[in-house]
Amino acid sequence: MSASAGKTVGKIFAGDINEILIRERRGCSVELGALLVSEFAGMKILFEAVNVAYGSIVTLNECIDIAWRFSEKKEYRLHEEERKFYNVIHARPLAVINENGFSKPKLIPPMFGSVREISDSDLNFMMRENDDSVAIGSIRSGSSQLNTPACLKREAFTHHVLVAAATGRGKSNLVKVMLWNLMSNNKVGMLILDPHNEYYGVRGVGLKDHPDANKMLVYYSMKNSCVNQTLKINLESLKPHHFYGVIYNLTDPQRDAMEIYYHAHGKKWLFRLLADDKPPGDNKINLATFTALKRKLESVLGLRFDAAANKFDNKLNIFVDFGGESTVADITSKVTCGSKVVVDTSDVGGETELLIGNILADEIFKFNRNAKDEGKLDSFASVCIVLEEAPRVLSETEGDNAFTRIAREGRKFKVGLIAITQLVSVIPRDILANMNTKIIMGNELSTERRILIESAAQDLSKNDHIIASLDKGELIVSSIFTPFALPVKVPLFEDYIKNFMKPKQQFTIDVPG
Amino acid sequence: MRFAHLADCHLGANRAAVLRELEAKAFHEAMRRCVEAKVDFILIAGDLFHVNIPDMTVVNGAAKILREVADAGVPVYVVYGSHDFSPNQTAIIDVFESAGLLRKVTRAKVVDGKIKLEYTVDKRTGVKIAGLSARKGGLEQEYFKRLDADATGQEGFKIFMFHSAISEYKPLRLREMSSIPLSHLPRGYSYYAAGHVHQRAEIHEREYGLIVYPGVLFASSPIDLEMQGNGVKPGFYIVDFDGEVKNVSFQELDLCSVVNVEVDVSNLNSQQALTLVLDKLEKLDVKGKIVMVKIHGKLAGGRVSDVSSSVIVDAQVKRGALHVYVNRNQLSAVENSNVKLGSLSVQAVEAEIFKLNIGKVNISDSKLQGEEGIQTAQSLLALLRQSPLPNESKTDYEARLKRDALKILGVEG
Repeated sequence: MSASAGKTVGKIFAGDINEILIRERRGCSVELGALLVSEFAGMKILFEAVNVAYGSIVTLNECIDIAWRFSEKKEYRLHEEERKFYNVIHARPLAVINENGFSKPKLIPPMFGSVREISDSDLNFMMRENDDSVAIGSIRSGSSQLNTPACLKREAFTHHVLVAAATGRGKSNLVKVMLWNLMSNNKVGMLILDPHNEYYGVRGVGLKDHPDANKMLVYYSMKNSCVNQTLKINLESLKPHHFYGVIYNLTDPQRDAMEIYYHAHGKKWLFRLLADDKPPGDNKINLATFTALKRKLESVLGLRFDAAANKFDNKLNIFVDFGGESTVADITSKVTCGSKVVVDTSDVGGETELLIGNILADEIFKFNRNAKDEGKLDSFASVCIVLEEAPRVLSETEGDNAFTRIAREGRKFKVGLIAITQLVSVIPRDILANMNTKIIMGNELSTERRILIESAAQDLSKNDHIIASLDKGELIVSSIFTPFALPVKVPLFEDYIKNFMKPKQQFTIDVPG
Repeated sequence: MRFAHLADCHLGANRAAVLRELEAKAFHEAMRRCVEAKVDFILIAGDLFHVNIPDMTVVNGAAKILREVADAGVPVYVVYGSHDFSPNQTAIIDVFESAGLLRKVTRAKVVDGKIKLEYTVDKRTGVKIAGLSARKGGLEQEYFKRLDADATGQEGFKIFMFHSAISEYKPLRLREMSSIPLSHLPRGYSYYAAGHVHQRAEIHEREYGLIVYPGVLFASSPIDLEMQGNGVKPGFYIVDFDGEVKNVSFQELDLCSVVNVEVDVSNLNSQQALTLVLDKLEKLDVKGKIVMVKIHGKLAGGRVSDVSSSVIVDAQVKRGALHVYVNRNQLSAVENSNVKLGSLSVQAVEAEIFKLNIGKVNISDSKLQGEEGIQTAQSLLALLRQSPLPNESKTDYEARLKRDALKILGVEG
């Protein structure tokens, strides 16, 4: 926390209920986004600096003249410089802090009232980390970090979280910190689709280093190392709808062809379709449709049937006709019991990765929906699915899939998304509206900022340039579960976890019989 | 060179004499074929016995067979299974080892928290065998995590024996079974002799040699028998090798036929259901066969117990069936309805209850069915409510009640 926490920064001299103007004390240098407090009559109002501007009691033309003199004349001095020239802090009220927590501000502090910097003691009523909340960083005042943790309610994760940031602003770091803090919480299961293989910690530190990783973390990968389960999914686990909304340009005749095969062959539909060299002779499926569909499926599944050898030539070794029968059920069982499952999809193409995610998301959604129908939903953990580059499956162009269904209905069945994106603009408005927590990181594109501001849970209309100026690791959390838009600083994951990692224990074990 | 690979014999699993006999016969036949095929050694990958200290009859039978195998000069190598495991090495397996009938291949030492396996070397072939025993409830998973037994680059034919399911290859019906990920298996062995999953499988995985589950030798549960009824044969493997695996050959043990019969009795009453089951079985040839009967559905009337297992079993045994198993786990009956009382009198409530439930009573006498039956029941209830008359002794009271009850039932006393 800043050494100046609690220090008076100025006096209020103008403004209204939406914004007050503060004459900054000389030498204070209040930052954009700083949290300020005005105390009066036993009450505290929390403000956020949304702009810092120049102020003077002389006219603009005189200021221009003075600037010229300073630049041209060596020994020019101003008379009563401190009185005449000052900074003006524009501050927006965030909340009234009282004994019970926070309330919406409905009055303004007295004219000429003092305003000071925030201190940790002002935030004693902030949510602390426990089973029902998860720390994602620390409260930030400008660029300074307070000691008060910024926590999100556990419930927020099933009401969907959008993480929006331009590239290089620390999205992955934020998600790692969040996942680390969720690791021990068995009331929230996580499915983490990891297209860059960055969360587990195969090389370097990661979730595997968490003290509870042994019992809470499972890692699936195509590669066969000594730390993972090999990702294998039996062809009989796939149904036609798993391909919809994730495979690019699947036409209606192609969908119909898949349904025809499914109707005719049941669980073996995909095997049959891939093994056949032409469509069935009943003319329900056109040859061109069949050929194009088969080519798409072979590409996304990495499979080609070798009729001579009567077996599949399997490039990816993920979708198999032998083994992998219980993978989807296993993963579903683990996440619905509160485990964290990381699925490494770094070695596959986009469509394959999305197909894998769609299959798993669909099964989890179905499981929870059935549990609710049977009145058993409360026996299971909430589930959250981490989805990178979310517009690939949430945009309007590809149609419905398990992710869009979860985005629209998942809340009812305790299934949520953490959707990570650089481009909020391509996500449909109704889906965006369902994302009740928006974690906003730095973004230079004004169009993207505008959409985020318009869809935020709080009024961020004055925060446009704050968002534009967010540094790496700085973010704003706007959520229906937070009393105001929280300015947060996320620590660097590698430094953060040093506080938690225990020295490796030496186990004493009996030699097994 | 050649060896045999068996698993999941589960000797002592079956209580029925006929099944126990078949279980012992399967083991005897398997050992006989191994000796006949001149195998160099035999691997039993866990659960030779169903419990760690079985019934002495079972132990005696197994000891005799293993003695014959030992006398024929064929060593038998084993690991504990999840059933015949002993945490302090006091299982019957250990007694057999002390007697020289078999040998556990699970020698290991712990170095810096890692389990390093030590090879047992077969004297005749020089094959190196290492193994990890199972524990109850899949607790051996912790051992696998700490295993340091990579054999990559080592000379010679090496076998790794274990008794666990592999997560990536678990059948769907066994999805709840604890298992180890494939990546926890040590690499570099020429052959992986597995057990525990009662379903035969030959698994070819890059970075590993051949991983084989032989399945059960006979059957340890009704599910095993049902699978045989579906055409899945029990047996074991004979493997030919010479530096590497040359040929694997599955030896079926077809000791008896199993017939699966499934009957849906939904919307029938219990009597009709029983009749349907018996009729269906009547059309089948059950002589000398094990018959697995699965009855499912929701009965319209009567109780589940009225679809009598003993009647079904007796009927088939009379027709020459070797053994009959009746599964009624998926059979249910209509529950008693709740009676809405409102402001009815006690007698009216009783009448309502009788009316709702009389259909569920399985009785052939018409006097006790329908309206007449309801009246009979009400009359009996009224009689039983009567208190003793003044000065009436207990003996006289009981005699009177009995006499009047028989009169109501129309039965001569």
